[in-house]
Amino acid sequence: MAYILGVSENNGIILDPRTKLLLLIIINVIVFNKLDSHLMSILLIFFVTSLFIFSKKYKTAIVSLAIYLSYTLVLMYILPHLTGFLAILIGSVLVMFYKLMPIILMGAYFILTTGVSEFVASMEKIHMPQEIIIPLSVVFRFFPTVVEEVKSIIDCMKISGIGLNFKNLITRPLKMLEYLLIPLIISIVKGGDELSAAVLTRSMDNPVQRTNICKIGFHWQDYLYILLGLLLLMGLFI
Amino acid sequence: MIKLENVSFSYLNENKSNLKDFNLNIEDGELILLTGESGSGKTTITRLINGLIPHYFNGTIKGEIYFNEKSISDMKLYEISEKMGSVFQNPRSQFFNVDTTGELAFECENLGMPVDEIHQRIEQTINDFHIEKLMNKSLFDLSGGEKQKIACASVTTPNPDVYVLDEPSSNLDFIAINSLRNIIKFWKEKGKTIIIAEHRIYYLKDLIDKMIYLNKGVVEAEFNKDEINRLSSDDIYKMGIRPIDLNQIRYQTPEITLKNHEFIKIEDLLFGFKSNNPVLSIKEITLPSNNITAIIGLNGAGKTTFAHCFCGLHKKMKGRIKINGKMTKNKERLKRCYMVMQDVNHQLFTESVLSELFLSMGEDDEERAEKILESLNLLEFKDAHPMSLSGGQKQRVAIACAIASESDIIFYDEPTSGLDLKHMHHVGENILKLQKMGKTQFIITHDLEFILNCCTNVIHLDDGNITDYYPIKGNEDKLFEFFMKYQN
Repeated sequence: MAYILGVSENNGIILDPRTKLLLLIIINVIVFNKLDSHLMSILLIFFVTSLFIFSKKYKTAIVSLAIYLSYTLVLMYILPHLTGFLAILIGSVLVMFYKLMPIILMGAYFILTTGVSEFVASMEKIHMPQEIIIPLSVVFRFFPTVVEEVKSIIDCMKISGIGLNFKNLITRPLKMLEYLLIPLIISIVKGGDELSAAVLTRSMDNPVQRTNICKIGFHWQDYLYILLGLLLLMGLFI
Repeated sequence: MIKLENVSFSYLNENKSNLKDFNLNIEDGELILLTGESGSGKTTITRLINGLIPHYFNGTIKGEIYFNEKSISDMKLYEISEKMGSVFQNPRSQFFNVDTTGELAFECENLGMPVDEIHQRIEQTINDFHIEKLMNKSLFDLSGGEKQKIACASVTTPNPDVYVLDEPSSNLDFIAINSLRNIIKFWKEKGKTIIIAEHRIYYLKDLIDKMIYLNKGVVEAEFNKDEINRLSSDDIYKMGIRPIDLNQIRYQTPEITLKNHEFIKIEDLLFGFKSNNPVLSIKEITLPSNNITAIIGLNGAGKTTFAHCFCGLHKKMKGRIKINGKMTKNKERLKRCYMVMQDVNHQLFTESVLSELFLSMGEDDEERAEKILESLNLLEFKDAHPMSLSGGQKQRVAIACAIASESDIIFYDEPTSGLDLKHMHHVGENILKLQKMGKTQFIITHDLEFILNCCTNVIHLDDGNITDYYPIKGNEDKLFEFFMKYQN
């Protein structure tokens, strides 16, 4: 499965969750303050894909680079020839994704390479309040569940003759969204309810100071990437 | 150790009481089995004991429940949880972590145990449960049985005195049930107190100290070890629970005269993510129409993959599937086949039962829809929201959709998992009804009692291959042998 979260059998070199969070913030600041710099955008993309390569997610790295390259080509060679409504539509959507891509990729790296307990451990280290940690860790837990459920619902839709195919998506897009979302929401609510009950019987609400078996800590790669991140940040002022 | 005195309970917003004047005294090291039909109140009792009632589920409680002489309603939920481990029905929704090791550590971490000690305890549990191979894995990659094993292991690491299990075998195949049995036996040998609510009881047979049979919230009968051994299959049958010994299953195989012996022909079917080790590989098989065929095999044998391939859900499938002598494409089979999923919630998309049928028909023919609903005793629910129905009713709505879409080949994915005897027979009746309408049906199942009562043929799948195909009549021994093989 492509969406295994935080299972670190042989995941290569991975950053500490705190470093990931810091880099995510740095990239956000850069992207939103330097929207028009092509050089910065390219640097950021290489910066993030290098993280994927270090964590042995070669496929993700290659696919991301390919998407980025094709975006660039479309923006440079095709978009200038389009006119009217289509140009505005395609242009605005494309440009938005193009600009936001470093953030999306960094976010994906964060989620794909961080385990729930790792995440909780690092958030506790930076004294994040429990009220924020618990809901966020539930999001981590539910991400792969949602992927599983969506796959299964799409199969069911096909069987019921309302497959998510091109024709249906064009002729009745809202209905299709409804057919997908209603079962999804219902099974997530149900699953969430069962999960809450299960978690409560496992002493989740115990007031003692929680311990954590996850070893988190800063290594050379963290210092390296924080340094690189800060250098990029300095690029804002050039 | 645990004492329930004159306990009555009704859930919030429900008029009827789920439990009436219930009394029970549980001694240290006892294994108590709570049994009875769905809705008999057995789950309610487990929730009253592990504190989820009243601390999570609201309602009106009368009477008192004591745990080590302390009243449970005066205790905080975490005070109860420290001493009690709970395992639930659905293996998918009871883990908080995404990795197995983190899950084993989870409760110990919550209890603030020192890290070294947690590691030691995990090590111990891994040894006791023989789950070395499952460690450091994503829980999302495990089978239902493996998930349930991890759930049991993760409540064992904090070493509680009491284990409370609510229908833990519901979603498991026979091998997984067998390892569940071994886990429960292990707890019992350690002198733990165990409370289990279940209607499938054969796997607990010689472990039970006391069996309590509930009916509509009232205790109808209580049995001790000797009395359980003396129970006849008649007694069990009357109680509406599943057999206590698989050899005692009562059954009547349906008789069907076949019309078309070469309805379906599958040739060189191949499906797999890597071609050198395919998930499914079927050389050749011919199947008759109008039959009810059980598909059996271990988890991972390719049962669901076979159903999905047949229904046209796997585009990358190679091979030929002929229906009535004609080659079919994936798309055609997608139209002709219907699949009733294990989680029916995934296939109900609209806001009323009637519009669910319209969706399957592709038109709003109310007369026909009502006729179909009537045949499945669903007419009174035609305007109800599908999600307001019970599990069995939802399944019937899905079956109604299958009829409405005029599919003549219908697959079921474990339609009786977690069902008591009565509801199992209801499912069987509906399947026989569809058989009379001329449908050809395939049922993926682990339920021997159900197969014997409702199916006519059996397909054995093993490691992606069909290893056997035979009519049940006259071959009952073979079928029994297959299911017994995994019991010890």
